[in-house]
Amino acid sequence: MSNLPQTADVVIIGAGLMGASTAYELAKRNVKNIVVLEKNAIGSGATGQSSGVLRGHYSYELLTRMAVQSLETFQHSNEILGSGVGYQPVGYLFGVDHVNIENLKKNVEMQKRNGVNTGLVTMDEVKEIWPELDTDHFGAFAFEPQGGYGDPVLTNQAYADAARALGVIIKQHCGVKRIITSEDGSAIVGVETTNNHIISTPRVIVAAGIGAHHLMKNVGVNVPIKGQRAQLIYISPGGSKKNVPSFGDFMHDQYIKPEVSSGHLLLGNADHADPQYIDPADYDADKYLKHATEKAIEKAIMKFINCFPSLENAKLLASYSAAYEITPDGIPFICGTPIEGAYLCTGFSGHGFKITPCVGKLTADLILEGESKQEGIDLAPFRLTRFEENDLLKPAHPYTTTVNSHV
Amino acid sequence: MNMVVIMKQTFDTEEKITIENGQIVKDNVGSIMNPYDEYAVEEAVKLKEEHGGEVTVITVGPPEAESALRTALAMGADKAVLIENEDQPLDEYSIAKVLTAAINNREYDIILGGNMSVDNGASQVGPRIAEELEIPHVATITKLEIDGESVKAERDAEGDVEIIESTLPILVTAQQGLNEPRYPSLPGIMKAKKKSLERLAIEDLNVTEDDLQSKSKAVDHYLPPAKATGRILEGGLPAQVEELVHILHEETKIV
Ligand SMILES: Cc1cc2nc3c(=O)[nH]c(=O)nc-3n(C[C@H](O)[C@H](O)[C@H](O)COP(=O)(O)OP(=O)(O)OC[C@H]3O[C@@H](n4cnc5c(N)ncnc54)[C@H](O)[C@@H]3O)c2cc1C
Repeated sequence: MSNLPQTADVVIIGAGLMGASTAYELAKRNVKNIVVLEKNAIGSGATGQSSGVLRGHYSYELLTRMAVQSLETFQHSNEILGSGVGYQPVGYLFGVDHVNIENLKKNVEMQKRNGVNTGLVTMDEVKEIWPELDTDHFGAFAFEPQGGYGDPVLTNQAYADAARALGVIIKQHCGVKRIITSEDGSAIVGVETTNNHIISTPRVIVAAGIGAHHLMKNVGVNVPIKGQRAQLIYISPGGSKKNVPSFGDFMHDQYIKPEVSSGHLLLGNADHADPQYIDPADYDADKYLKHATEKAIEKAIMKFINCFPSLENAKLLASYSAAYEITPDGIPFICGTPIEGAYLCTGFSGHGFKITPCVGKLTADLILEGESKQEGIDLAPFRLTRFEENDLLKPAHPYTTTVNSHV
Repeated sequence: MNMVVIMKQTFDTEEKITIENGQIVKDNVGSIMNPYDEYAVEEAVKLKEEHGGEVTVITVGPPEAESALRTALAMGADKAVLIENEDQPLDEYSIAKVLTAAINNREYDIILGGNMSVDNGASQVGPRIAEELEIPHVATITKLEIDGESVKAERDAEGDVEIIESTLPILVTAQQGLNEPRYPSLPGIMKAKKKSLERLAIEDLNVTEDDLQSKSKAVDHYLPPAKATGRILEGGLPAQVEELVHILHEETKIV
């Protein structure tokens, strides 16, 4: 690897959304000699499999704040990053069952307080938003007109291009074999690539998604992160209204993302009651099911038919399976580690896309300032030690439908 | 008019295929209906819509092959037959014998199949069955018209079109371009799960020991060699031509 430097001020492992946005934010703050090493290609991990739904709706106030702060970048990416990110403000509809009506009200209040353009909508209003949706099963709905979706790969590429323009080196098809520490294991001294090239550096940011587990294990730090199978299907809805919103159906624990160009719908499972995990080693070796099982397809179809009984001509187009980079509480790691100079920015547990712009800033804060400089956003809930300290982030009004940290 | 479709479940060739010890590793690889068989099912369902009758889909395969049959049922087939075979190694010769035995006692006017399966690519089973049943066959068809007893088919003959006239009963194998297979509807998929499916063992059929003896043996499986990366020649046109000629003479030794 002749064109890779021998030394760097910061090495970032992984050029997914998080590695690229962090590289960009650091470069913007005048950090020089940033090298990003990516074992495959930009956006080839969870980012390339992502549904790209954008919403301010969370039951976690902290995450709502991160989504609100991030929205501006999706809306004005041309000005901010220099290219489009496929932002489609088709709106985000969120529906719950009768048991969760109060929780929804409380959460919508919290979201409004934090600047989300959202509000409860009546069943009649929902009928206008999506006439084929059978509202009878549902208890209540909220709607955010600025929600919708964006393109995670375009967003990843936009950050990578913007970072390169500021002098960041992004090397693709160049994996990190190991992180190198000082002899006593207390501090970072460099990384070694799979082509045996060594870069000396005092700082490594591990933004390697599920790959973080293996990299950190080798230097004695346990990062509890693994793959969780996500199974998705694409359908053509037949006679549905055009221009429908993204839809979080928390009656059936399913989400729907429309594709504006084709009118197709992506159906994703949001039911985490019976998770299927992928061992990080199997994930790294690319040994996991890439297709959806018949059972999962059937379940998704049943849920859809329940919601949209009149769409009899809806057709199944395709199905696939991906992997979330999941942590035990569904909350990411944006933190230092017991090793000086080693930082984590990983474990976004299937909901990282919408908060990407804020995460880049937070990670840059962490490295340069040692603390968050983003208003109202504390880094403590993202620390690695939260499990042993039994101090986990908890929403004030969690939904009862599933153990669901995505919302 | 009654249609029989012979079909097969194959692994999804769009997924990453790995080979260990000369065998394809099937773990983690999805199974699909052989894409050429989709054209056959679609054509059969269209014939039913036009002429009435029933579509029966038949496969020889492991219990999991049920899902490919269910896909055909969701597309509009009426009946499905699964001849279960897990352990017996069968080749095109023996599979044709088994399928012939299964079709022989059924009413059929036309038998349709894919022109080949994407896993083995032999293109033999269909024509062999036609020979066994002593009926005409037309392979790799791209168009089919049936009027009373007469059949007119267009076939893809290495890029040319051959127009063939024949009569029912007949066997045809489908080539890409014959039609655009429909996507199954969501209610159709759910209904197909409840349609009855006939399960047979090879022993239930009128086949001899000899019929089941494969005539061919796969000695090895290997992946095609990895493609080398391309090279873009630079400079003005004369320089590029000169370099290309040099490469062809000296490096690839093609000319
Ligand atoms: C199916 C699915 C649907 C989703 N839907 C949504 C959604 O609708 N809305 C939302 O907000 N979020 C969603 N997400 C979540 C979001 O996409 C992810 O949280 C986000 O993409 C994570 O980005 P990342 O950079 O942390 O990880 P990744 O994109 O996985 O990037 C990590 C990178 O590190 C590289 N790497 C790993 N190991 C090494 C190594 N040793 N050396 C070098 N490089 C290495 C990998 O190749 C990879 O490119 C979804 C995720 C999935 C899987």
